[in-house]
Amino acid sequence: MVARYNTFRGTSKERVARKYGVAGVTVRAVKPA
Amino acid sequence: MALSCPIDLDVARLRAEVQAMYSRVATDQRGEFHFHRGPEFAARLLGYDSAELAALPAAMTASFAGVANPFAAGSMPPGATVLDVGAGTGTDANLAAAQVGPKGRVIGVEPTAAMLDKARALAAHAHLEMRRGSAEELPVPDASIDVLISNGVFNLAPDKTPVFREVLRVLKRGGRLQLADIIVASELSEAIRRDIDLWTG
Repeated sequence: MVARYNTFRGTSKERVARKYGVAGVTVRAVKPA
Repeated sequence: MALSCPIDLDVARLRAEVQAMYSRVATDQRGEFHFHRGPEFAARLLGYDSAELAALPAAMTASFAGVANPFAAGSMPPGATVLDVGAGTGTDANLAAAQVGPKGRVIGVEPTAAMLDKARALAAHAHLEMRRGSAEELPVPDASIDVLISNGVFNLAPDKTPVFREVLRVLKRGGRLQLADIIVASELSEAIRRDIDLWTG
């Protein structure tokens, strides 16, 4: 699963983040049993 | 995903700048930063539960500087051993401690002394322990962790290989990584990759 967030909205980094597709994400991975 | 920065970078200087930046987040949350902090941001933009955040000390959550939400990938199982890498003043670690309950255990690892001191002073659970260490050298035995969480920390490491090597070392077989961090969708210029101020955010 991946959850994605507009993490830099409203900060001084927002323009750069939009330009380069920078975003917050949450990912889940499992170590093989 | 690139696991290392393909340019020369003064890693010692980067580490010092990162620690200086996050010492300021621990001691002066109202200062000028180019990233969000605090519980309102966590609830409004990242989907944290406001009531759970309100139950924690305000001085702890004021220094929250995560970039996403590791709990969006699942809550911590009761009784589990959880490791929070780059725990800061302990917001995520304390939320995890509430979820695992007193039969579980949470270890928070943090390299910045000011963050660590504040986390230890404000910890709200007896089964939460803070340790000094870095993502590249976790002070935790092999195969001892059920769930590893981290929020906005792996991006600060210029070389991700030792970081993920440590993740694999400390997780039990079948253990989970719930990683909250930032991604970059397009190639960054060399000028940007050399800018330590951008790394420290």
